[in-house]
Amino acid sequence: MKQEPLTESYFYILLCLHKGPNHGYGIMQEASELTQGSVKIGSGTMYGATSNMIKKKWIQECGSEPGQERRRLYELTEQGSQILRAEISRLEQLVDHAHKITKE
Amino acid sequence: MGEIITKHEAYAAWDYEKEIEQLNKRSAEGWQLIQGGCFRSKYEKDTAVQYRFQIDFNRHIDNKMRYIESFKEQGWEFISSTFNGWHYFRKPYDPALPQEEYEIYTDRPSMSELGSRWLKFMLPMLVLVTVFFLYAAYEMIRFPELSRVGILVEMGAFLFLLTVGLIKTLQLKKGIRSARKFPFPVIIFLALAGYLCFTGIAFTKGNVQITMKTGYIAKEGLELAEFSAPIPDYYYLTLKTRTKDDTLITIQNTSTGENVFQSDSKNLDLHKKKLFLGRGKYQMVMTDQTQPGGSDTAVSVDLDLN
Repeated sequence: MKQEPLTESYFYILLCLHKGPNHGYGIMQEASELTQGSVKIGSGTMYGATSNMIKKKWIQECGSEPGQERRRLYELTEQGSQILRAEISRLEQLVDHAHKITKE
Repeated sequence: MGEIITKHEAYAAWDYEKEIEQLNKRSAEGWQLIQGGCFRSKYEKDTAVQYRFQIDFNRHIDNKMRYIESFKEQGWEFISSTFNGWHYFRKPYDPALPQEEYEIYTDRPSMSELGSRWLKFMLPMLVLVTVFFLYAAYEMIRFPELSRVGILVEMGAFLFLLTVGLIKTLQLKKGIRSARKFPFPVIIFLALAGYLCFTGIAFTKGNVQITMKTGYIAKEGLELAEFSAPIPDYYYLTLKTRTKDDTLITIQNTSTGENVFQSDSKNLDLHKKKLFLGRGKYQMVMTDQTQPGGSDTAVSVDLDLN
């Protein structure tokens, strides 16, 4: 089945987990820095998105950093990485198509 | 620990933002929410801080710890949850921070999910109220002599619930965040109260009064009165008859054919005889027992039923 486009929040959460495990706050900050503040992931949105992606087995919990027990870490699963790669190539395709039309 | 006050107030769905505004306003006045509720909220006096509040709706949180942490990470302090899935959070207010810092839903899909959760919660209740409503309407058609006040209250409550609920859900789906809290208990209570009024409390059992001086009694019977018992209850029958010939008086449920009263006296004198009548239509018939084919006879009947 064709992969549905990810929402912006889902995409940035997966992207910010690409380098390795991260916690919710870290994801929110990195997404914000990466996009110069245009993508903010609020707590309600973050909880909903992580819950759904845990259910879909795209991400999983992986304990917490030493000294920061209250912040649980998330990491990508194999399936999650595939979803992210598929989304990136889908986006690249979109941009390619757009360039083909607009740069002629 | 400061002074604590308890306020009893219910907010309607369309007042969702008002509730948050109210909490923020009270916070600025030095009253800090320490327990949120659908009907009862507690505040503590503390003028040293000022908070901004948020209310989330989620009835199926699989990991409450993780849920609360997700908010805590971004500076939201969990206050309390209500039994029906509302969660109250607060964050110290800093006027220098942008408004987004005080939002918890930051994109449309997640807000739309909130709308779906909301709708899912609402649907079974809507179905329940619809069933009540249809049943009440059916009863109203069956017994038109019933009081209409109760049913009108119920219909009103139902239509109100349906339209407002659906409009607000659609708004939420479109990302307009103004309607998240809905006073279901209030509406259900109204509907139930309406229904009770309709079936019993506000309505009198009915009062049948007949005075008849003469009539022709056929063998198959002279129909004296027809009436309904709208609710199953005890009714009091006061009946006085004077006839020339032997007659049989019966009160019969027209749908089941059951005789609830029978007497073959020429001269009957009943005063407030207790009769149990189930719900239904009744017929009171007088039959001539002596003359074949009936007779033209002088009858005097006084019937009072209440």
